Amino acid sequence: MESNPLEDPGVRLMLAWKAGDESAFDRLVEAYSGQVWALLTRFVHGQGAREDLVQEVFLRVIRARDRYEPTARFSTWLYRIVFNLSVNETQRAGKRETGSGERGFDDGEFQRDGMARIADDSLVEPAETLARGDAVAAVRAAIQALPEQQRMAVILAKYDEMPYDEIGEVLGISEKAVKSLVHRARESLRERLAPFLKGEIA
Amino acid sequence: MNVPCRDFRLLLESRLAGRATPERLAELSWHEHLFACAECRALLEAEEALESLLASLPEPRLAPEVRERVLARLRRSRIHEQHEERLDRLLDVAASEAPPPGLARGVLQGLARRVGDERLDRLLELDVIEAPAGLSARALSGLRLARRAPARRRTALRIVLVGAAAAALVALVWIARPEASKSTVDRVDVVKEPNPAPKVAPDSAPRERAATDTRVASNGSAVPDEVLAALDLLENWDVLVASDAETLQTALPTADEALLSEFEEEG
Repeated sequence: MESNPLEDPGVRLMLAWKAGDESAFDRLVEAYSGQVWALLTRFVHGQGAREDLVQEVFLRVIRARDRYEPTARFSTWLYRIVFNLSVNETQRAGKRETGSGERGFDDGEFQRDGMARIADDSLVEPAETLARGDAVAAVRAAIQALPEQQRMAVILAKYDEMPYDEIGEVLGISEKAVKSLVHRARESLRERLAPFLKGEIA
Repeated sequence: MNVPCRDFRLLLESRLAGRATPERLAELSWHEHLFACAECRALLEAEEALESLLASLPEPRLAPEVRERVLARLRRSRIHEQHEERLDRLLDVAASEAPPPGLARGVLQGLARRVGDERLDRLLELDVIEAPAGLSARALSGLRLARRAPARRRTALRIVLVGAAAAALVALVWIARPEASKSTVDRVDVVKEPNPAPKVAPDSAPRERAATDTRVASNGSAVPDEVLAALDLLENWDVLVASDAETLQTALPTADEALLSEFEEEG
């Protein structure tokens, strides 16, 4: 990590709160709930679950208060919570749905079977969305179809402009592994969205 | 893949790793390699188009009313957490060799308030809950162990249960003393209502027998049915609440508050 975490505004608020400034927590929620919401929307895309998930993310922040150490940017630490929580939640939802919680493997990476099921009705197969010619829906569906780590890596890289080393911290993997995840994710996206890409080029 | 292709793709990947925009990728279209390689040109164009597509997704916005709702619920959670912390500190003090007098009684009062069961009120009316120091300390170390269990809400529930059971045990031992039995019976006689049938759990029979044995062992003196009924209720509490655990758990912050205020009044 190049920059000093202590200069990060989120880290400062977290430390102030840890030191007893109760208002600092409200400011943390004010400052970061929008980002958490956006990340969850892109990652799980479930309409109903998001509000509860945002709350659950910050509940975990509350519980981590005493043992919090400023080793990274606050958003890196927070996104790690978001990722772990979303994956757990999706697994649970998958288990409820299938009664077994089966998993498939994709290129050595877990592809949770229930991942797509947390999504709402707007998530449909790319083939169907092509018929409607709805590019936005197709992009969402293509992102949702990615395995979890690939999906989070590509979302953080693209929409949060997060450098690969920080994405590695969020996912608990190396920078090199992130690079390979993003590479594979883009490959899948290009494949799934091929009809739209050709249209763009023309 | 030949060397020029590999070099170009590395360059492309490094652009994608930084803040890639379709425009920044388009700058690469003048790369000399592309004049000779249709495959890499097609890849670059596909990546540019993909960037445009990804950028077309609308930015998700958190509605202010949702933010407010989340903030309000988090505030309530924090108050609950603060109570838990205070309770932790209190229990640390309480489990010392000289716990505050009346602690077991305070726990029982908290439970009575929460549950609203009149049998518990009557048990409290008996005024025999003051714990001998040794028993109280043991009950409190039980409380502390329960606090260390992983699931916090579940733990909070257990505090009340273990505490109440401990208080009831103390009460029973106290009542069962030969010299105490007479005055206790006198007080119970004042209670006029018939004893409501205790909710008996499936596995309660051995416990009932154990309670009866205690009664026989205590010099033949009668332990009031009121106390036995209340004890039965407390002993089987974990079974009784199983069906309604969720309701109880959501109401627990109030119970904790009741407990704390009792402790504070006592202390």
